[in-house]
Amino acid sequence: MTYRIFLTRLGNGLLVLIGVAIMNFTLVHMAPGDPAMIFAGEAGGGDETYVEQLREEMGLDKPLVTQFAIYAGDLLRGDLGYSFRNQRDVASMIAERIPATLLLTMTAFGIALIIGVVFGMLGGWFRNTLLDRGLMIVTLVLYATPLFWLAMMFVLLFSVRLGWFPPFGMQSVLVPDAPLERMLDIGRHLVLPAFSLGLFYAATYARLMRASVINVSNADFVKTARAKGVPGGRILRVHVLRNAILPVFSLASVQIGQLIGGAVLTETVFAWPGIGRLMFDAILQRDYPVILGVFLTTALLVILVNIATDLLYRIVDPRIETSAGS
Amino acid sequence: MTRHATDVLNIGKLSVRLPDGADRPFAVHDMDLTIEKGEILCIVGESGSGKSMTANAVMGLLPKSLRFSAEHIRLNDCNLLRQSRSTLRDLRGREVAMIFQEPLSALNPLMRIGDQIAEVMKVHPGSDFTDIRARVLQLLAFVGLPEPETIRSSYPFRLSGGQRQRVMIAMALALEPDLLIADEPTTALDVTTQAQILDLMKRIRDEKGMGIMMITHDIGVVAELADRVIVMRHGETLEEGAVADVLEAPKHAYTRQLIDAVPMMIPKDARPFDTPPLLSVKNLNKIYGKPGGKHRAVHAVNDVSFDLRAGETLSVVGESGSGKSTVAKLLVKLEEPNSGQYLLDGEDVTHLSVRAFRPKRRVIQMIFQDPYSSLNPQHTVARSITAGPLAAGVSRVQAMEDARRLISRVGLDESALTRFPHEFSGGQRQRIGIARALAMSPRVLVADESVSALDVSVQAKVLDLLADLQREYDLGLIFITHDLRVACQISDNLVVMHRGRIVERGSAHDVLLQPRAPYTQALVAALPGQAWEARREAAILAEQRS
Repeated sequence: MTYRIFLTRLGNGLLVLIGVAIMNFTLVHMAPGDPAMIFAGEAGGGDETYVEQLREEMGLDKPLVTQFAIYAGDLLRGDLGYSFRNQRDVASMIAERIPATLLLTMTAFGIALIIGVVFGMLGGWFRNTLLDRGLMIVTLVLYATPLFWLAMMFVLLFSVRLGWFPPFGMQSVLVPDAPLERMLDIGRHLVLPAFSLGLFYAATYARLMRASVINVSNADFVKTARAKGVPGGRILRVHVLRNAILPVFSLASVQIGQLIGGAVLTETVFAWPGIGRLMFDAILQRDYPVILGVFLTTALLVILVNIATDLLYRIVDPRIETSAGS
Repeated sequence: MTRHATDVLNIGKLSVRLPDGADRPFAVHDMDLTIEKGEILCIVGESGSGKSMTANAVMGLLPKSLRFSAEHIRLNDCNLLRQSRSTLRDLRGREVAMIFQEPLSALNPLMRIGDQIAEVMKVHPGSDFTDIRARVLQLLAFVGLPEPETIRSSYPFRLSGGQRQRVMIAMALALEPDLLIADEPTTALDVTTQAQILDLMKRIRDEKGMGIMMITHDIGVVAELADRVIVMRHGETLEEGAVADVLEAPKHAYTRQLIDAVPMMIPKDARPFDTPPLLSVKNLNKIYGKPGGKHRAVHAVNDVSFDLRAGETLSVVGESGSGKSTVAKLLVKLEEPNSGQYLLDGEDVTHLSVRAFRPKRRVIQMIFQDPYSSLNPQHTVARSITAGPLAAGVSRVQAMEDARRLISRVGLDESALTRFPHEFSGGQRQRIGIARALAMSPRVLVADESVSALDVSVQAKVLDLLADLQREYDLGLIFITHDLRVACQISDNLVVMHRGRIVERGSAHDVLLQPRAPYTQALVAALPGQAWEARREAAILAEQRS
């Protein structure tokens, strides 16, 4: 059964991907600004013939439909296009950036979930105490603070003033040779961007988790557990937490896509060499093939992650299988 | 209060104080109570009487905001007031266990049944049952669940309400406690399931010798099950005694009132109806889900036909899942039938679109089950009552005038119109619901379990009101209910539904007093407290003759 659901989800994902490809392509081409003109301008001017020559080289002189047909055909072969600006293959540009982005977003996601669930659990279980109030004020502040501002404050405090962590980049200029030291080096670089990205989402999860814990604490089955003589700690662990975490899990599986999008800001502020940063640069330079490639790749990542969380949800909540008609 | 060696529970002067600003200072006041081994004590009372608070106080499950005091609460020989919190926790489940009203929400949805029962033994180390798995299977078998091995590894959502209540009982029995507290354990169940659970409770008393504290609002259940009764109102104990004494010679006026409010199985006199039908359905079918589709198709309404005439009350009786509520939805066209014919006021409305049916909505109006959720909490009562007429094109002045007339007709003050639903009790809200239905000047009313959520005394008054209104406006009334006693009292004719089909139809007298279909016979036989009822009816008949 799960196998069939998996295939359906995969098929749906493919359809979404095709939709994204078509939409991105049209949108980008509708945006004002001629890449050939900009390229020519930055290359130190040039006359009409030079621009025309560039357009021809880039394939921009062909009708839009033909351009898309070429694009789609290349996609099928796994070819994301060629960046004239960088004189490089788009697929390889993205491929070399993906690990950095995944490292950053997954770490941030983990931080968000752990902090969110723990804060929310404590707040909900010890509701209306000083601890609860304190935690909720902290999350409210984190939630209300713009991401990029928080990132810059982090750099000012922990990097410039305290000197605990490097302010930007993913590796030191002189990359250490030993694998362990190299990992530690990357880890030190990761702390600030991962936290500034993660804390924002942690705030949302904490508030949702708190509400959910309070809700579940009032459920009849928790009263049943008390009537059975189950100790408080075990009630929280066995009966409340598992039920309370479900809504957080649902929200998180939707938001993980946003998280990948939110990485653009963080990667820019911290000069993190991921695809967010790549996209930012590509947009400034009107580097269409790169923009399209990044869009498509992020869409693919989001779809894959959503399928994964969907399947995971089925394991966490046994009731799901009936709604799928087993 | 004297103490016997066999007392399982002995409470002296228990008071539960309500927070400041409540309508009275005490939820429970100066309550004395004893339960012996092998005895079932029923605490009976209407909502707000403090009966559940008493149970929760014994379990130590009162909300933290409520303060309680007592001279003593003695469980066997142990005064609970002197115990530490961890000792109290250990006593729960080991010496006293509790089951609740809502079996659907009382089990953890993410935990297998077997694990939930086993948990009782896990958190009470040192129990006699070393082989937990075997004990769980034994318990499941004892409470009469089929295939204990399958149930053990199932999640709660796979089980019906009655099965889940059996699981709750199995869990309560796990460590063979001396006292079982049951808070309205059968209220949410069908009458045949209720009968089985009540039998199970009697078996527990007889075979295990447990003391049982049974909280209920249902006099029928009291008559069926209790050895002794305590009657409570507004937190005070009004009367206490052996069940026969209290039910047959009540000393307190309120007890008498409670008993009199229980509808008797004496149908009203048959009346002839020779007008043409106001409403008529023929071979109505409703199937949910596609046959052969991914989900199992449910034939919710199967070949249902009946007529309703002006002034007639037709009850549709059945248990949950019988399709009776689907019939209601089809009648007011909240659902479309798959096949069949539906004539309303002489016109075929079977295939009318929602828009085309709209003018017809004035003819047929519905009163819902839950008075708490069927009124929009954001709207004043006036707005709720006038919304229908205004949408049908009645002028605002006229609609308001009608609303004033109707609200006093249903027994509420005109000032109610400017207030909001939360300011009213359940019974009052149901009156508002009736006024809202009447505002459309309907000729047919559909009442879907409209008195089920109400206390008996309130229920009796609302039923009287409905009967009066019916006479006054010559209304056709479709009364959908699971309660045979209520159906008997109000109906001229009735149909009994089971799994989507009508299994029996006829006058209230024929169907309920001489049922022919096996299912109807089972339903009637499952009514709690029949022996008591027979004596009660005989007494009343004797009184009438003399």
